Amino acid sequence: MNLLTILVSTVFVNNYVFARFLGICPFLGVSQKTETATGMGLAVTFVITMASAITYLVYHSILDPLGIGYLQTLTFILIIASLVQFIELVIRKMSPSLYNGMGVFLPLITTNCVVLGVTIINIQDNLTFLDSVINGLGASLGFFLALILLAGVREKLELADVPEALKGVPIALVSAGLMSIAFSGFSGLV
Amino acid sequence: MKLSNIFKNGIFKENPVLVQLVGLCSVLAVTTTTVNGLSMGLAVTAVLLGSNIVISLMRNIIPDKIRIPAFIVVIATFVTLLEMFLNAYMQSIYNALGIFLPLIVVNCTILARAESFASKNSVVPSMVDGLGMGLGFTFAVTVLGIVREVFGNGTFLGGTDFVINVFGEAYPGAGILVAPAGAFILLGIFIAVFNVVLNKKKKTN
Amino acid sequence: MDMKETLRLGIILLLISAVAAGILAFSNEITGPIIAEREREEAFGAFLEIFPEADDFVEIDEDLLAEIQSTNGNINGVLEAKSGDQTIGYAFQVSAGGYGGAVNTIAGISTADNTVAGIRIGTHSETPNLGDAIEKPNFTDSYVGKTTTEKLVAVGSPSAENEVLSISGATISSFAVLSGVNDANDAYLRYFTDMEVEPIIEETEEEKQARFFNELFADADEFTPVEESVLDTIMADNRFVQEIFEANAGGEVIGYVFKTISGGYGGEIPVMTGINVDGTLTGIKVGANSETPGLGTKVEEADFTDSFVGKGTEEALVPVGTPSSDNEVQLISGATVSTDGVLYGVNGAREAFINLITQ
Repeated sequence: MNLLTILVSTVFVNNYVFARFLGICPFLGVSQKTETATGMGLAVTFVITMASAITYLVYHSILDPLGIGYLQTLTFILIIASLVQFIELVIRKMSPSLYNGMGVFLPLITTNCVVLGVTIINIQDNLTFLDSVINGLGASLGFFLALILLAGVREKLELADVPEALKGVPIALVSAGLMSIAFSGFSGLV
Repeated sequence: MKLSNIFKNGIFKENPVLVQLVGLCSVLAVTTTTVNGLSMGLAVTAVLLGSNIVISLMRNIIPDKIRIPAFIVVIATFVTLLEMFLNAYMQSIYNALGIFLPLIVVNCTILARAESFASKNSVVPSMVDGLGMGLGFTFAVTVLGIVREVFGNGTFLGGTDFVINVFGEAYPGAGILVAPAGAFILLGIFIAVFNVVLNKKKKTN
Repeated sequence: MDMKETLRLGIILLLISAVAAGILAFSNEITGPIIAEREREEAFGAFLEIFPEADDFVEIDEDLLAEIQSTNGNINGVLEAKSGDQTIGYAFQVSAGGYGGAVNTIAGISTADNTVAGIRIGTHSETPNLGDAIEKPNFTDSYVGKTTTEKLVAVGSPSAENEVLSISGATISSFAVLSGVNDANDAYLRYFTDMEVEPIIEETEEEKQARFFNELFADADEFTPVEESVLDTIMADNRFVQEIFEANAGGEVIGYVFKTISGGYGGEIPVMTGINVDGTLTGIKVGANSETPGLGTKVEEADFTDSFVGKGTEEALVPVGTPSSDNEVQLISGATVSTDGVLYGVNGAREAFINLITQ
């Protein structure tokens, strides 16, 4: 598939948050402020793109030829956990302030469904190496986009007059729902 | 804590989906029908039960510094076992859950329970906690599944031999409910309602 | 944390993972065969639907399959349908690119009369309620009994021996199936019958270009690019022309070949236009493009390109349903954007030609 098509498709048409429902937990947890959202988005983009590349190589060079495809879930999640650990160390060394700012959300990238989801989809859809990496990049950009958009909306919602029961997560979900409707307008684009 | 309290905790006060707000990815994606929601709930409960028991049994063997990776290995193993089992013996459920089956590995509920309960308590309480949390999750997803299916599609128990057309065959269905957008909105409302009810109970207690 | 500690922790983690892997390997031993068997049955199920009288399906010889795959990479497997000791047909597992991804098709061919016994659609990711209509009987049945000796074409109302159904609104999906079945038919004729089949021409891009030049000017013995300054002058006013060649026969210029690039539906369309010195077109050649398969790609076919032969350069060329006058060429209904794309290129060549001879 044309690389641009993959990108447009993963960022808009099949946005991993609004259409595929992946990455909801951090989506709700980190979208309260645009700064943390940006930091999370960038970290996730790095992890997913690297994870797409590494898991592809591991699956096609080791797991599949040896017929141990069933170890996919286990190996992929361990690779992702290691990548996250690694990026934690890097950020801690390079920018202690960023590390402190992101706090607990950094290790939480491991449990971000988008990461594991993309790596599995890459294998399921039988993509080539380049397609897999671009797919990962697109997925994380789409996630990033969703995150920033919702963060922007939520900052405004803080100041709005929301009924007590709906305050916080519920109204965020309703907003996300409305944004999902908006994004569904992209279908048919590719 | 009494066992019965541990159990009720998982279903009400600390309901993973409606209060703790974890594991939401699968909640939104798989609740398009009652059967799908129920299947996902039971799948998560099975893995939760298994991982809580094993992690509780191993809690004194696993060194603290590598506990998270170790938990992940245990959880991933149970998920893969479930995957194999469903693929071989219950293929329709395997297909219905799709990619969300392996994604149970990153369902925050399971890792959270391992970290905060199973690694600190003995086997029987851990088992009950797993059961409670799992059923709390199942309750939330099944209700969501029922609402989305009945009002969104007009059927109940669709996909099985017992399907009922609640509003008659000609009901076009509120498609928005079955779509991703509807899931987000319904979940938001569900959480709001659940919390109001819980708070009311707290006040009257 | 010192090295010894790290090592100890690493080993413990490794041990836990090893135990986990062991448990999974054990479970795989039990469930693996069940899953494989079920998948095989599902696959066989489709084969049996195509060949109801068969009682077994046997994979062909590995080396033969490898040879078939070396000429056509879209063929994933071939099975012999047997009834008792007799081979009654062959089932080809083929795949081709559809709208949402690969479309896997099983094409069964009867050895009795070399016709298509039937097709079944396997896994695919076509659009639900749109592209997945290819799974329906009214589509797959349109292939039953069709010929293998001619290339099959997909139309709205199939009737002839070589016509099968194209579902409107799902042309790309329909074409993916068509392409797969045609591949199967070709492989069948080539490897399982004694029939004469045209050899598969492996042409390099260069060989193809050379062939195009010769087809445009059969009498020419040499093609030389025009002077840089001439080309630059023309390109300054003309946004389609990329290269211009003189066609020479015995030292004399008999015509020109113009290479243009213009925009079509799916992307750029390279076109070569041959124009005699007297201003008549010798023909056009359409190069590699991304137009819709089975629809926009019709611009590559003779029905379209032949309509340019002998046309004049007095006026700009226009596409019509029934071309008659000197400046009318064939319109392809349903592919107007692709047609227009090619025409921008050809008319660009025309303008360049006029510019050239008035210099």
